[in-house]
Amino acid sequence: MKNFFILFIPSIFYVIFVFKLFEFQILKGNEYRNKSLSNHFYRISIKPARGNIYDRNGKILAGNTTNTKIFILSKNQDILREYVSYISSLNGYYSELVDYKSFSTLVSRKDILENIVFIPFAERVYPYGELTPHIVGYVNMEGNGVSGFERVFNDSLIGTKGDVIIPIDAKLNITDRSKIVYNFPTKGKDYILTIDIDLHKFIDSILLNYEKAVVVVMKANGEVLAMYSKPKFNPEMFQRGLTTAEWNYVNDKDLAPLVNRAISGLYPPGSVGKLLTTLIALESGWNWKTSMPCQGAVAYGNHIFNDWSVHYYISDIKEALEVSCNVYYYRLGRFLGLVRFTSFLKKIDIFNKKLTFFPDENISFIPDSAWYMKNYRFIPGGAVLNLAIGQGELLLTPLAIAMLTGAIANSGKMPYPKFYFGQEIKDTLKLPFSDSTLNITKMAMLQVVKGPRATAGYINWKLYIDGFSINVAGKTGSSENPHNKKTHSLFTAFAPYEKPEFIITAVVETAGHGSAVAVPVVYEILKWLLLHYYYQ
Amino acid sequence: MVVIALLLSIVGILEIWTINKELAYKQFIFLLFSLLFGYLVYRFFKLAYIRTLIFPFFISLIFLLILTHITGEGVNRWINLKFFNLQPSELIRVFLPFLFFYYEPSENFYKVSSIILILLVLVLFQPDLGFAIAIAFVSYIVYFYSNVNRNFLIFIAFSIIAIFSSFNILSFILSLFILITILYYMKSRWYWTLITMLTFLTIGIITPVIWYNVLKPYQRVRIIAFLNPEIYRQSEAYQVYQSQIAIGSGKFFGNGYGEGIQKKYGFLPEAHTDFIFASICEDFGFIGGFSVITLVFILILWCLSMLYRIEDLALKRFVLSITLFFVYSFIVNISVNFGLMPTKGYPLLFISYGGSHLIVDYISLFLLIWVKNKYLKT
Repeated sequence: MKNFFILFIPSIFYVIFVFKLFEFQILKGNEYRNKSLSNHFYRISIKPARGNIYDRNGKILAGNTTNTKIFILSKNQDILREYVSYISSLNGYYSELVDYKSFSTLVSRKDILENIVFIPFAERVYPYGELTPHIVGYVNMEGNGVSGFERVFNDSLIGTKGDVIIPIDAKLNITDRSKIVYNFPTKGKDYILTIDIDLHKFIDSILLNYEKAVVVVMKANGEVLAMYSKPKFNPEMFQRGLTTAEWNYVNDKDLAPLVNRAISGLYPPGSVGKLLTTLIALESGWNWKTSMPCQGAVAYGNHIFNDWSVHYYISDIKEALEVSCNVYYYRLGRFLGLVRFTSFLKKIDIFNKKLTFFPDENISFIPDSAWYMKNYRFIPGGAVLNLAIGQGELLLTPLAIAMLTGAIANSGKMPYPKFYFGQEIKDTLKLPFSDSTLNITKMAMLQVVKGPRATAGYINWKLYIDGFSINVAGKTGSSENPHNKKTHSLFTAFAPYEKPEFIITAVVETAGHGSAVAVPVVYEILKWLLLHYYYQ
Repeated sequence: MVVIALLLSIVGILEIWTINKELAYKQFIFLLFSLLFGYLVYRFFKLAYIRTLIFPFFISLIFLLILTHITGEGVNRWINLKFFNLQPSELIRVFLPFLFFYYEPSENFYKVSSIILILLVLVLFQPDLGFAIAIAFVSYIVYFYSNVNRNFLIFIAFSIIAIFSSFNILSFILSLFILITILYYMKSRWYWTLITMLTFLTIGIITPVIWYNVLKPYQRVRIIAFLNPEIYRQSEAYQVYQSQIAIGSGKFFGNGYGEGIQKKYGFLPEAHTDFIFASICEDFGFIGGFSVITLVFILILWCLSMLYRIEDLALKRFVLSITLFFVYSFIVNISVNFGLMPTKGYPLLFISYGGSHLIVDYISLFLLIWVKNKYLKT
């Protein structure tokens, strides 16, 4: 019995060991083999370079730095310290990123190379920085696009990650340098925007004195030449992390520099809205030849509705638009009534559909009687009068105003805005107005610039002075601003009148009357366009 | 049997060669010395020598074990002899069979026990828990084989069980239940029953109280560190984890000779000594691992098979105690490699790097062969 017992001990362990060996090597062999390989191969991922974003002339709006990053592999504190001090002596400070000069010095030092791996390192740069941050967007610290174009096309811009696989031993030393495998990352897709960066630069220079402003410049075929929004900001700061001052700046509610005002800013159109009233009234049967006296104010209900000036006599609707006569448009408002006016506005796709692919785009706001009931519990009698002159609750984005201008210029049709070459344009937006209506409105817009009493006569005069023989049509606007006594200054125009090519909309916030500020701004831009595009 | 042992040693040397060529040379020289010593033992050994040798052997053993504390630092297991680090505790593996041959443990119970206790304490203070447990393991089983009082053996066994089971109420109750069952069937004298039960309960209750209430945390850490110095040299979990990866990654055919990643790039700690089995498994896969286990097992079976044919009880104890050290090495070393036991730092017989243990392995083996040829001629 005793002898049996003594045999029993090693035998049972022998069986256990064989089973264990079978379990480890046969059943779980692959798992352990992979574990041992991942012990041996150290993986460092390489960030891919993002695709470049060019402007229409091939200038880089968003590119990449080509730096080299060093990776020191060692568990030995002394070696690490030595390397860090050596690399610090090259740059004057320690950084994982080395420039070309330091790189070539390092490569020549065979002894120091032993524990170093070089990794290509791409970081986003915006050579034109503050000029186009709203449309190009920016990336965060992880290198993902979080705004604008960078955000929308992040998936195709980002490229495919690569990695370096380094054979190491337990002390993190590289065992065989020749077996280091570089799987280089694939660069993301490049995009060419329809934006002209030189135009942006020019717009920036003429808006130097204004704090907040928006300019949208489009071609008649829908290509966006400029989409300028002010205040500006530096898109590169998000990649490196914000300082306190920058943080306070971007979070300033009054300035709101991160907002792309061209697509997200909602403005009362001011007298620009009279274009809509004109169109709707004509379409609803108003005789364009109707004349009217103007004493500078009109009473309605128990309110007095003022005009901005006394116009004495308005011969027809074209002259009403030319002088921007409120009294005439109050009459049109009464003629239309709130329901007819707002339901017509709801039929206009430009104000009711998303125009761009940017997720932060706001759709223009059109109030209707239900909205008034909800917010005022009654329909104010004067509401339609205010709407008819473009004040009140109607809010449009600058892009929508530009699109409307373009649609009138193009006899009722306007393609969706095009932001980059290769963009598939879905379909054209159509205005629900007849040709005669559109023609009369278009002629009225010409009169705004060219007529004897023109509010934007400045342009006609400047064209004559500068020697350009083309016709421009447009409409000024001064939208009332509840926070500030000064009005927003608006002007939207298209040129040339006979065969429209350029659509320019400018909104300068709290700057004064449209004719005083926005009109000269638009003229300067138009002049630039004529010189750079039209007469070439 | 020498062929199997040589085969194992050569596998060991080949494996050490892939880790460190210098050590492989050394191990080869140790192997030659081992064979020389083995041959000398085989040629000139007589049982009569034991009578004259045992006392000076014991004195010199104690002297050497104390000397390690003077020459060594930290872990005092070796005496530096310039060309060779002597590990005196390995000599116990020769001394203990002599002791058990010369004295019948039941007749000279106090004498034998106190000698073993002295050795145990000296080894424990080196500190070498693995070897101390080996001595206890071998002595206990030899006691069990001779006619030492069963009550005493149960008393010892359950006193130790009480310490470790006391930290978990369930395991404590379970072991108490087993103890009661055994005592009932043993039909022991009432005072043995009483003493065993009382000691078991007292230790079981006092140990956790002392551990958690009396001892300060750093004292606990010191005790653990004293009992298990390997844990504090390098994280034990790390060692075992890497050893398991090494064994598993060998798969069926292995990575190829010298190609094991874990060993080659230093992820496997102590690959030439305690974890040489894992290293072999990584290089030669299931085939290699299975062969090593089987060869060692055959060797052990051969040693144990001698017990059936020996009539003389003294000689039986002699053979048994030699063999049990082999068994202990086999069980503990490979269990540690698989992570079945906490790390003990005990070498694998005939294979692991180390002069003292290799020489003592071969001396033990040749002693057994000598016994076989001398007394078991058929």
